[in-house]
Amino acid sequence: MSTSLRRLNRLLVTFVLMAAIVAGSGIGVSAAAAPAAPKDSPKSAMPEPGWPESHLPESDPKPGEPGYLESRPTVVLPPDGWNDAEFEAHDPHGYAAMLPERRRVERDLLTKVRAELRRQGIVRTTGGRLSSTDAARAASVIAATTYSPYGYLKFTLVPNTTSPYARNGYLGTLYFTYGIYSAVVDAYKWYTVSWPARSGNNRPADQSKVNLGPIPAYTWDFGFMYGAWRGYEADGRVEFYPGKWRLDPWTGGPYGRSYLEVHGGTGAHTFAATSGCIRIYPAAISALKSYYDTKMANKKDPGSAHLTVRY
Amino acid sequence: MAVLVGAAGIGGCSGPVADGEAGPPAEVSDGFDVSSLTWDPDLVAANTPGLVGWQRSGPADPGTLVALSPEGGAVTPLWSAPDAEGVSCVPHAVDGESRRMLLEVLRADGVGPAGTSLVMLGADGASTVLVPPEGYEGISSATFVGGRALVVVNHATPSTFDTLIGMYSDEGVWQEVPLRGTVPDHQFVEWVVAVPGTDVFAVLLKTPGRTGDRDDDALVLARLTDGGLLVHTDGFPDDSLPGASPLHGVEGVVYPRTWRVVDGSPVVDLVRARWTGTDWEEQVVLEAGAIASGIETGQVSAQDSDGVLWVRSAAEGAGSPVLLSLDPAIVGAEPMPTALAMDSIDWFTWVDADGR
Repeated sequence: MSTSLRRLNRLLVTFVLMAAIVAGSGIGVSAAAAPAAPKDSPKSAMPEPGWPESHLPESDPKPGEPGYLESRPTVVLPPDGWNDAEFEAHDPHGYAAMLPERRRVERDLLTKVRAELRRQGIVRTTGGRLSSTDAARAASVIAATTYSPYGYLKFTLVPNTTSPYARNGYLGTLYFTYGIYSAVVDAYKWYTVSWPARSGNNRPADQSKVNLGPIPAYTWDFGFMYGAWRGYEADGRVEFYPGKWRLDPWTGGPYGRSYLEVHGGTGAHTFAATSGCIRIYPAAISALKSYYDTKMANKKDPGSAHLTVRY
Repeated sequence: MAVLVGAAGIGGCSGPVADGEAGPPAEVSDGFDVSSLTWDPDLVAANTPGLVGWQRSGPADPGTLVALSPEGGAVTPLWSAPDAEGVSCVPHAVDGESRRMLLEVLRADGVGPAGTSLVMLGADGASTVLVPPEGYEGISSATFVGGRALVVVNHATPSTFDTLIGMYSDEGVWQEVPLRGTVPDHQFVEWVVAVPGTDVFAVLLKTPGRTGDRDDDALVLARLTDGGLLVHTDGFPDDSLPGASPLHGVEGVVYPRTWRVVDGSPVVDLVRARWTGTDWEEQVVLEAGAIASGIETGQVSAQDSDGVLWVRSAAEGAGSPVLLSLDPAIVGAEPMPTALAMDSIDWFTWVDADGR
């Protein structure tokens, strides 16, 4: 592509994006509890060459092109993550930080699950038990919902000076937590997996600084763009390998942050700094995809397919 | 094919993998044989001394080694990466004297981790696959010393990241090259690069940093002595050093400093760090310049044998970044734009002439 054509393409992309922002304002902003984006965004830095063009869908490798990677379904179930006891033993601070949100999520889920079972005429005895027939029916009913397995993600930056994955005094961690409902005991059992991660300069105090700081604290819709589900997107480019999930709001996020993703990167980009995207190792992307494919029935629900970022 | 399968099996993952997680692809099935790569070193010799870069015109482009002509903006193809599904290449070093190139070949199947092979394209036009030592699956850096590859390999787990420096013999046998002397406390080696025109190597160490801007990384210089890298400098600290490239004929590096903020917005300074023999001399050669930070592009600057710095500009509006020239010997010099568009150039370096 010639330089002039590339310029024209960028202008068109900018125009399309602006149009999309106007048309889609409000769409894709997820939880009601999420903080409102400040109206006055700080002046952004001089744009980095390749940013944000490399992150736009228009730049994705197309089928048949050498940079294209086909997204393949997960055929082997991943191993169970840590149960709560194992999670607490391995990562007590992460576990403690996860619990308050988990309790809220679980309360909400149980309310929905019980309502759905009642609606289907599945009722417990006074002792709280289900007949074996009703237990089987309940499993079938729940399998048709987005309530189990129910998954969500969390990204944290916590002070750390000892881990080799810490940068700027903070260790980034990406958690995937999923719960599986058992109708027999009327409860969820939770599992968690985690990977080292980094975002921007890794310094939470800089989250408002465009192109410099980490992804802002917010509740992002994982695998969505302008409110539409896109899921996992395989990407063979070295900056993203082996793939990515876009985060909504795709544009107009807190502090004017835009075009943020969870992606990999290989070669010189392996666990390298980003302009704000969350980067994990390529192997971690592949592992996360296997859990995303098989342990997240709610992945297409923008009301619950969340990546929460809290500092 | 046997070489490729072996390389993928040993070096097949690129990050921390817990027990039971997805591992490297068990076998290679598409018929691409990394050991079959060939090139024409005469083409490089005919275009050097000069700037050489790695061009990808778009996501569909597997990449081409090109000669860069800043004056006229010409880009001359020297070698093209194989157009094979899931295969991408990352150049590490080109040595005009030994007529060799070090190339990392990444093999993606879209499911498992990328298989990584380090390949040396030789003066005879053929390739040699350099197999990493057992237990190390990733390539952190590769540079030349006397025509041989000096490589940093890594092994990552969810809680550890271990690196090892080593050199390959002409027969492709790995031999560890330990760091010796007074070495700053560090967690691992980020990279090692030869400083052209000198006998020293720049070694970047990841240090156990805190929230400051100058405590995550430290640069030392070392000489290859008795099978080890003997460090002869103090540590020079800066969190921006991962984006550094070596100076030419001077013991030091140049890098974009990305952590300074002015009026709430980050700025990029171009910084030169030189070892005087007793101390580090730090000089901001371009303050708050309209230059790239390198975070997305990975490569910002290189110095040629005349001391001129070649720098990637920042993009302005919808414009393309271009290559800038800057003479650091002239106090207060402003970078001069060249005709060379840089939006398709990932990596670039200065290559001296064929030494024969």
